[in-house]
Formats: sequence, structure tokens, C-alpha cells
Amino acid sequence: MNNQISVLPEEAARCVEVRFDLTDTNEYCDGTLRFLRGQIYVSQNGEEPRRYALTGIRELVQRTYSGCSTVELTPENAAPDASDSILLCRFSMSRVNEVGEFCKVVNHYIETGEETEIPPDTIRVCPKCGRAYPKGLDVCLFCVDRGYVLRHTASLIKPYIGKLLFASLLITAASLLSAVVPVFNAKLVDEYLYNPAGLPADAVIKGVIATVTLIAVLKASSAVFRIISQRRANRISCALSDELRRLLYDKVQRLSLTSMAKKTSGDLMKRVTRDTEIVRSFITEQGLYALEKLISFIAVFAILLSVSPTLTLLVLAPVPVVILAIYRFWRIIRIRYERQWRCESRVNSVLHDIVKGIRVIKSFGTEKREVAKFDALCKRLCVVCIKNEQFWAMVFPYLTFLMGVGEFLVLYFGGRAVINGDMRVGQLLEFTLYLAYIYQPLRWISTLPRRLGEFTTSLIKIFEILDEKPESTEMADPNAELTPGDIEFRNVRFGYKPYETVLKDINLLAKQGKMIGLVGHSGAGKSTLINLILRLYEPDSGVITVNGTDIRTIPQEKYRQKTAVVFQDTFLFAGTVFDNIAYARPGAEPSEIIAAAKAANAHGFIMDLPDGYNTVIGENGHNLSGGERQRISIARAVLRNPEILILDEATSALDPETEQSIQDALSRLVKGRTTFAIAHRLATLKNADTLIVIEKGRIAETGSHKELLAKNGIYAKLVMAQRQTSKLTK
Amino acid sequence: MNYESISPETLKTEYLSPENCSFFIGDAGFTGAVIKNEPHNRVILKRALPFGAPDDYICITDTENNELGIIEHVAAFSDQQQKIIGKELSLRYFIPVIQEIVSIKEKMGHFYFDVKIQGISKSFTVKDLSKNVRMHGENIDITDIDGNRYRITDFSAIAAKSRRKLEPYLY
Repeated sequence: MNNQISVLPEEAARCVEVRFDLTDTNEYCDGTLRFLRGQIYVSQNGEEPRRYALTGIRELVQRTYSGCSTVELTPENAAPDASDSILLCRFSMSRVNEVGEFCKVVNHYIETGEETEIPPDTIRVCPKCGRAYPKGLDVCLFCVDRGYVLRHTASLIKPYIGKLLFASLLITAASLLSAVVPVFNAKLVDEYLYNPAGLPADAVIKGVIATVTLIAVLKASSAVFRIISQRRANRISCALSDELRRLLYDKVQRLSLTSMAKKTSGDLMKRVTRDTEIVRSFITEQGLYALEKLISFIAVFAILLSVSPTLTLLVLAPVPVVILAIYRFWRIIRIRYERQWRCESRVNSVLHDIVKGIRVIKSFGTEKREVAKFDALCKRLCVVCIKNEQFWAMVFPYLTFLMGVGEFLVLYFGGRAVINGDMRVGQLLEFTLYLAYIYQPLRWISTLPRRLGEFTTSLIKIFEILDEKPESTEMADPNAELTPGDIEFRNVRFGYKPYETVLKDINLLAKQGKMIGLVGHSGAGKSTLINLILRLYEPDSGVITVNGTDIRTIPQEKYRQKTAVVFQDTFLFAGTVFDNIAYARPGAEPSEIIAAAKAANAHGFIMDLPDGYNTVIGENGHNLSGGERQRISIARAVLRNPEILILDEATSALDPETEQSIQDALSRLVKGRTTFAIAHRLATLKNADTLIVIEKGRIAETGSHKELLAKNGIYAKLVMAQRQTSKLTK
Repeated sequence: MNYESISPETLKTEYLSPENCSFFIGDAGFTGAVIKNEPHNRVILKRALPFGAPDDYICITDTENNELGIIEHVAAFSDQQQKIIGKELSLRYFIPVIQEIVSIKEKMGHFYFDVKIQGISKSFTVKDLSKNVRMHGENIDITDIDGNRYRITDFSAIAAKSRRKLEPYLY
């Protein structure tokens, strides 16, 4: 066989090709996996390809390990232990997604004989640097230019640009008004106090009064403009801050569970609170001053040049050195603040964990250990902060001193010019007064790297979330509605990762208004199936329909209005009992809330609470028992009046007496609704209309309790095992 | 996990030693084992403590993830047996060792590493260093955005130039 596989032009589109990068001995290589004409070709480092025909092959299996993965061919009559599988290739995690898609294409061909392609957006690599795009982003963050920060900043301030410019102009006017004051100071000294023209005393006094009055008016006007500008800036600042938080919070709510799982709650909270605050203060404070500093610098520079070009150049002599120093320190400062950010994030995260897990900590008596852990992190943060501040405290005086060198030069050469009669005393006074106006913007620039560093870091963190694309393949038709009907899974296949299939070949029909019990070992795929019904994830292939309508075509908001879930671990929000029940339908009448609570067997205990339905329950309902929390969550589901109801281990954490009371409530709730229930205690599912046993991601058995017992399969064994265990524990 | 569904057999741990367990390479190239005289043509070896004790507490399962036993210490096996165990583990845990850090660039909250591994240049991207750089003893393990792992063995021993590049990012 030739090294090259000859691909006819008409076949080129049908040739599916991906790369792999590891040899059998863990060395990096350049390998190619091709699928063409019903055959697989494997070649590495330009060697002759190995060819595998797919006849007699059951499937292509991808196995993922720690830091690497493999693809194996499984023959149709393979041994159960897969010892006669054929290892095709090994590859690093950088290739798992594309090889996973390759496997899907080949498996689809084996199952149906139909040739498909790898979706074009699966392999997303930057054409410039070859690096993979970060998940959820359409830009290569390595190749993105500085314009990224500018563009995103511009997009944030766009709605406020007019108001921001107005506030900037006001503060610039204020600055310019006070900038002309030294001109009158010089006039006061040179024309009246020094009096070279020999003016009469009353003329001098009149001149002094006029000049001082003018200076006072200029300063007062400047102060008024400054106050108005500041008030405007504060308004913009609050609006921007509000908008940023709203955008970010809104996006966090819309992100997929997969994406959320990658971020800690401390991290997310910090982004919504602290980072938005940093971005807001930079834009409204520094952005506001930028224009003022620039214009006043140019104006003063022009005035200084008109007084003495030589002295002006001396003033500016140290500026290039300062700018160079700032540029050199820039990177170090950024790294230091990034480290501080990480430390703060860690402290927040641990604090959040400690507060959330306080009951576990107290019950295990590990308070001291937790305090020590938190203490160590705080100390680490403290050390990093001190080091950063020390570094800054060391750098800043140097920069200030460097800039101050110009002042010495002006005093020395200006003083000489006055003595030699080349310059008047008032002019030197004017010059030294203007030094402050020149150095103020330069000093501001010298502190800019620090602020810019914090701003850039926070801005990136915010846009990392805002730019992330939600992972939904929704094809929603805004007019589509969820109409009551049978729920059907047709050839559904799903994995949280493309290379790990959790559910496969799922075909099931849930008749409208019937209860389906999902049974299986932990990790079999029951909760995943529930997640698909709830549309928290979308199937990789196949469809889920309700009354014949693909659920992806129904807008998520409309769909979720018709579904309700009762979880094992009930989450109640901080607020009143009433608010928590009404969470399912804001605006519900009190009579509806009471009716829902009654249906959930919750009314009785609620009325025993000190403030009835207005009783404030602690964060996560800590002052209610597990059974009480569960009944409130059932009331919430009752109020929702859903078409589809999910009960995910709704009664597993309760004692038998409470469970009975909740079972009564649930039996009222499930009536007439299509219900999917998961329960490890199989006795709680025996009234289900149909039981579905899931085993290793596939439907293994279907039938009623009696039918499945008669079948003597997995379900029967599970029931027997539970009966025996319950006998043993008695 | 539902405690009631755990059978007493599941709770029992079968520790294996050279006396009751031996390994072999099967015809298809997969590692097999004979455990208590029962042959298993393909077994999977997993480290219980990959960071703390990579050569102790090795769990042996079949391809259906049923546990067959645990090897307490690999060192108790003969050299030839250790070779088979070592090879199987090395194929399951791929953590290439970084020989040199050429550069680390930070852009937009991502860290771009250019390194030398197996004598060749490799680039990878790390997001969130606090979560993805894990120090244990003198080793540093770095996980990139794809889930690949890289190891720096004995951080204090690598070239000072490489060390200086990573140090600002560690805490």
C-alpha cells in the first residue's frame, strides 16, 4: 500500500480526517485517522497507513484516561472483556473532541450505512497561531489585539458617551479656568507689587483689587463647573455600574450548567461585584479625567512655550525617562495584580464554602481546621498585598522624584535668568506655578499602569463571561407552545463531553398523564435523562418530542413554564414561606398559595410558624426541617401546575412517617401530569405506570412492577437486594 | 450513594500480592491478569493516590469497571511484573515532563506556555492558574484548557531560567 491514500476528487468531501498525536510508547507523533469508502486508515509520522475494513465491526470505542485517550475497534462477536478489541491509536486530550466526532461519524455509518461529516465548528483552531479557541469563545485570545480592550470599553460606554463627554468638558473648563490663574499671579507680581512702571499707589491698589477679584471669580467658576461635572459623573457612574451588574448577572443565569460548573461561586460573585466596580470606577473616574488632563496639559504647555521655550524643554527633560520606566514596570505590575486577584478569589471561594458547609463543619467538629485553612489563605493574601504595596511604594517615589528633576532645573536656570535680567520674577513664579499643571497629568499617567492593570484584568474577567456563547442548540420558533401530549425519546444519544457517551439509543414513550419510574444503579444515566427532559442539556443526536413537537423548537422560557421539579436536596431562597412558594408563579393570589400548600401537606406546619406564610426562613431554609422544606418545594411545584413533573429522589432523605405524608402530597400532585420519577427506594415507584430500567446508559428493561418482577431481570434483582438489605437492617 | 444498596461483598477489599496475582500481555496487546487462579484477558489499572503514592494502592478492574482487587505495593512484585504494571500505568496516566520553560505569556486572562518536552517544542494554554497549577512536594502539575497534564519534576532542580519564568505565577 502506498504511503498516500489516493482520494478521488469526488470523494474528497466524503473523506473524514482527524489527527492524533501519541504513539503506543507515549511519544508525541504526527498521526492521521481517516475514514473513506467504509474503511479506516491509520498512519503516523508518514509511515504506510494501516487499513481496517468495517465489516464485522460493531463499533468504535473511545476510552479516555488521565491526560490521554484511545480509540479501539470492537468486533461484532467481541469478548465481553474487550480483550480482542483492536487499538487504533492514542492521543492527547487536545484531540479528544475531534476524534470523538470521528467516532460518531464512523459509528453512525456502522449503524445506518449513511456517510456523514464532522460538524464544521467542532474543530476550532486559530488560523493564525494554531491554538484552540477557548471553549465558548469565537476569538483567539492569544492573537487578539489591544483593540479588544478598547472595543469592549467603547461598547460599555457607548450609551453614556454624550453624558460622559459633557461631564469631561465641564471639568476641562474648570481646569482651564484655574489654569489661567498663574498668568494673573505673574501680572500681580510684575505689574503691581514689583511696580516697574512706577504707578501711583491708588492705581496699584485698584489693580491689585481687580486682579485678585478676577482670580477669585476664576477659581469660584472653576469650583462650580467641577461640582456640576462631579454630580454628572456620579449619575453616569451609578447607571454604568447598574448596567454592568445586570448584564453580567443576566448572562450568568443564561449560561449552561457545564459552563457554570467550571467556575466557583466565589469567583462568579467577585466578577459580579468587585470587577464591575473596578471597571465602573476606571471608566467614570479615569475616563473623565483623561480629557481634562490632556487638554490642560496642552494649554499649559502652550503658555509655558510662550514664556520660555528653553525652560519648557528643561521641564520636560525627565519625561521620556519616566515613560520608559513606566513601560518597564507595566508587565511586572500586571503579574503582581493578577496574583493578588487569584489570592482574593481563593479566599472568597473558601469563605463561601465554609459558610455554605457550616453544618457539616460543626457536626464534624472541624472548626479549628477550617479556621486554620482560612487563616493561612488570608495570610497569603496579606503577604501578596503587602508585597504589592511595598513594590508600589518603592516604585512610585522614584517616578515622582524623576519627574521632580525638572523642577530643580527650572529653579536653577530660571533663578539665573532672573538674576541676569533675562526673566522677570513674576514670570518665574508663573513658571513654577505651572509646573504643577504640567506634572499633575504626568503623575496621573504614572499611576495609570496600576489602575489600567486592575481595569484590564477585571474587564477581561467580565467579558470572559459576557462573550461566552450559551451552549444551546435551540431552534426555537417564538410562536411554538408546549401542548399537552405524549413525551417521546427517539434515538437519543448524549454525553456531557463529546467523547463520553452517557446515554445511547434511548427510545421511550411516556403517555400523557402517566407516571414513569426510572430505575437503575448510581451513574446509570437516570439524572442525565431527567436533565434532557428539563432541557438543561440538549441531546447530541436524536430528538425528544412532546405531543409530536421537537422540544428544541419551543422557546426555553415557555417550555420551562410547563415543567416543575422536586429535588431531593431542596433549595429555598432567603425570604418568606409565601415568597418561596410563589417563586413558581410570581403574582399568585394568597388563596392559590394556600391551596398549593394544602395539596402539599404543608399548610398545617406553616400555620404553626410564628408568622404563618410571612415567616422569614433563613438562607436555604435552615430553620425548617428536611420534610418541611420538601413540602414547601412540592407546594411550589403544585402552584406551577406543570404539564411535565420531575421527581428526583423527592422522598429519599426523609423518615418513613414524613415520607408517607409527602407521598400523599405527591400522589395528589402527579395526578393527570406526565411524571418522571427517580427513586432508589423501589417501593416508592411500584405505583408507576411504567418502569424503565437504565443500565450503562441504555434502556435495559421496560414494564410495570409486576411485569418486571416476572421477567426476573435487573429490576427483580434490585428489588430482591433491597428486600434482603432491609431485612438485615431490621 | 444509597447505603442500603451496598452489599457486604462490595465493602470487602481484596488486597493482591505476587502470591495470588500475576500479569501478562495478551495477543491483542492488552494487559491481562491471573487473579486467584482466575484469568482475566484484559484488566484496567488505576492509581488510588496518583499524587501521594503513585506506586501503591493500584486498583485492578475489568473493562466493566468491576473491581478485582487492589495491589498495596507494586514494589512487592518481580521486576518483570513491575515492568508490565508500569507500562500499563504509563499508558493510562500520560503526564509528559517539561524539560524547559521557554516562555509564559499572559493575555486576556489566559496563560500561554511555550515549553520543551521530549526535546520538541510544545505550546499549551492554561486558564486560571490557581486551579490548574497543583504543587505536591517538589513536583508541579499543570493542566491545560484541553485537560492535558504536564509535570515539572523537582522544581528546585530545573534550570534557573525556566524557574524564574514560572515563579511569578505561583503562590
